[in-house]
Amino acid sequence: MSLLIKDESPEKLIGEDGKRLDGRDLNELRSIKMEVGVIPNADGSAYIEWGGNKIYAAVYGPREVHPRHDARPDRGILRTFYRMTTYSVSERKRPAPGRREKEISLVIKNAIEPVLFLELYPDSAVEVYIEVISADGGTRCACTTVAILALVDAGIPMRGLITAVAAGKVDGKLIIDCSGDEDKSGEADLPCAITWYNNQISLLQFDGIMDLEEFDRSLDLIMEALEKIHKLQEEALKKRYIDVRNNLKNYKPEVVPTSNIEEKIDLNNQKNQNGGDQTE
Amino acid sequence: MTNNTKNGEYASIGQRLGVVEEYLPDKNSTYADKGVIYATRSGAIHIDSHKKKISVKEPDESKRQKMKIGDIVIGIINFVRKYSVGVKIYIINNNVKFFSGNLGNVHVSQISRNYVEKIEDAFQKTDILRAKVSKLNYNEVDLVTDQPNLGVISADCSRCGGPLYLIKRDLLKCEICENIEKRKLANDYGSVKTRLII
Amino acid sequence: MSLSKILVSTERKYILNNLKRDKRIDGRDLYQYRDIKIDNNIVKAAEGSAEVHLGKTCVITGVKYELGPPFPDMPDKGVYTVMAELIPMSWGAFEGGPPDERAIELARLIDRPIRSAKTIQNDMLCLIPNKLVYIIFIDVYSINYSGNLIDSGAISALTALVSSKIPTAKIVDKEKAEFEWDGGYFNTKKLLKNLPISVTFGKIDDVVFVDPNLTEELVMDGRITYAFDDDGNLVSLQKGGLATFSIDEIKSLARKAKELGDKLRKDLDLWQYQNLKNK
Repeated sequence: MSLLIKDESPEKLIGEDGKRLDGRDLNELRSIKMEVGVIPNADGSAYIEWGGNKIYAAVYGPREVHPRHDARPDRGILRTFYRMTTYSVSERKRPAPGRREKEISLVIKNAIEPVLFLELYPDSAVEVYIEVISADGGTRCACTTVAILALVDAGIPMRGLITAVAAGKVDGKLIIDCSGDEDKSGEADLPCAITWYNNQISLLQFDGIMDLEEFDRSLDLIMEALEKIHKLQEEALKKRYIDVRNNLKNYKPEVVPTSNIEEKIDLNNQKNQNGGDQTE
Repeated sequence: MTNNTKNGEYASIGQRLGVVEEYLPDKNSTYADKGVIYATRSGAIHIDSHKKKISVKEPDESKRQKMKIGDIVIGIINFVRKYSVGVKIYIINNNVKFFSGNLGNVHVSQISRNYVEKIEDAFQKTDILRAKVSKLNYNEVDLVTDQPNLGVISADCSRCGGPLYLIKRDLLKCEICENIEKRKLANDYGSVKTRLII
Repeated sequence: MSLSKILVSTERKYILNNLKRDKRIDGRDLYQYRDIKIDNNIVKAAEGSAEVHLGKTCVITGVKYELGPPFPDMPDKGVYTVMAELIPMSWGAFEGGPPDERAIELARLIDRPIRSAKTIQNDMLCLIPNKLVYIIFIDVYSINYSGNLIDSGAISALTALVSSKIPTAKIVDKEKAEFEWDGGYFNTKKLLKNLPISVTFGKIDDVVFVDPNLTEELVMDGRITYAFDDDGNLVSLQKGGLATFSIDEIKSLARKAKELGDKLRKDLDLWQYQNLKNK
């Protein structure tokens, strides 16, 4: 099928002034905004706006495994579903998940699973649904970064956070956090995720051409950027904690004059929650 | 290492909380590695000074579906065995949990304060049951229904599937086939008013 | 599903008793909508997009186009389709995989008023009869399902259409079907004629109320959806669920739906989301 406005890749991705097309320096990240607890139905959820990327992540579980034979008696299983909406990319994507989406789902799962204490949830599944509403390069890194926030919000115990970012090479220069255009016409792309509890790399892919010295330098660039994003993640989580706590403080159970037993149970529970720290 | 861990303070994930010589780490919210305790959740630090136990509490623990002793659950009876019934739990403390996969068991001795001779006199398959958690097992919980507000809150006729209405305590009659059935009923059978959080 | 059986046995009576006293569990009146919040132009790559919050319900709709052959029976008309996905992210009971009957019913319910009211002037979307027309995709995704996806989905589809920037083309060679972008975009005020508003009622026992929330939707017997166009004509009607309605009820609800729809149309003022850069 054909479109009227063709995606034309610009000839030069780095201007005369040494800045990139969107005005960023070579080692500058796009603006990143994160929010935790955005989907009320989910056990945990998060939203990220990373440049032109807009991504929701929701966690359901631990819950029953379907089909049953996938369940493991010794530990819980993690499932990740990376999906893109049909309108998230310039040419309409087919609604059914493609090979790319399945691969990225697996890559993200493998990046996240090492930090989770899934052995606490035998016979159950933790399911992470990631929906890319708008895509603009580096979605797998943004998805990993937001998925871990949703897992924290869902109360799944973990050793530490995970942060991901991609480095790349355009016009012979190393850059951090490739945008969609840079991704398409760049010379190399290196997405990378770190597990902060032991500073190990848990997601690593590379495509393109680089010499080893450039490779070393791009890893340094990545480390520098990861620290910044990690701070934003921590802030988003702390904000969520404060919000929920304030909501709870302001929450007054509505007292309905009725002799119904169930209502009484309600109120008792509420009391336990608010003063739960002392009564255990 | 100075000890800056205080009760009620915010802990981020992976934050060092102390050493195992000081506290007993809580397995659901902390972990110990080489003698050092780290947080595995973000939330408020909670130190139980009697038990010397350290844990991290989320601001709203009621959302989590982990059951505690004393929780009120609602479920549907899946199996009727010789001495117990199996319950599939859908609602924990008024929080609706889809596919939670939580299973519970009510032993015949825990059904009622009165003597129950046959389990069929108290429960049938597909009855909807309100019960209280009395014991946590590996992947199941033990439930009791020996209080007036606990027991069957909705049941269908075991012969024709029609709705059953209350005729007197623990006795039901089918609207369609007039079959009379015995159950251990909750005292609000037929007039349940809950407000679930979905 | 066992869960809905439990919900009906525990919640229904409580909700019904309150409804009989003209009260909803969330404090609304029987004929009151939840708060509606609309955002548009949220997706850069889409021609049009809209995020609609109806209470806790959230849907995001995108509009995309392609150029391709028309349907043989309408050789000089553009094509448009509505797709709805109830993604598992939006509710614990939704499953992944191809759209199930629920998602398809929703898509068709959103599609029908647009089609009946002839909202999209599809003769404007034809480039070369029999050969080349615009194919417009309206894809609705549920982000958080908390009841009444029909009305929120319909509003989001219309908003996405109104705010869309679909490029216009000029024909270079009619025989070879060569074309190129002429640098402009469709003016949606001309491309769209009529914005039909859907109004959905739920029914429990003999009580009818508008805009069911999630709990109400799970325990209610059925629903009825009316859609009216700008001129006040009925353009779509569908009864769903197991409930039955009397003739008088259907007639009086139609009046009520028209009243509510007119109010919604005025309050939302969907034309304000038109992209002003359009020519």
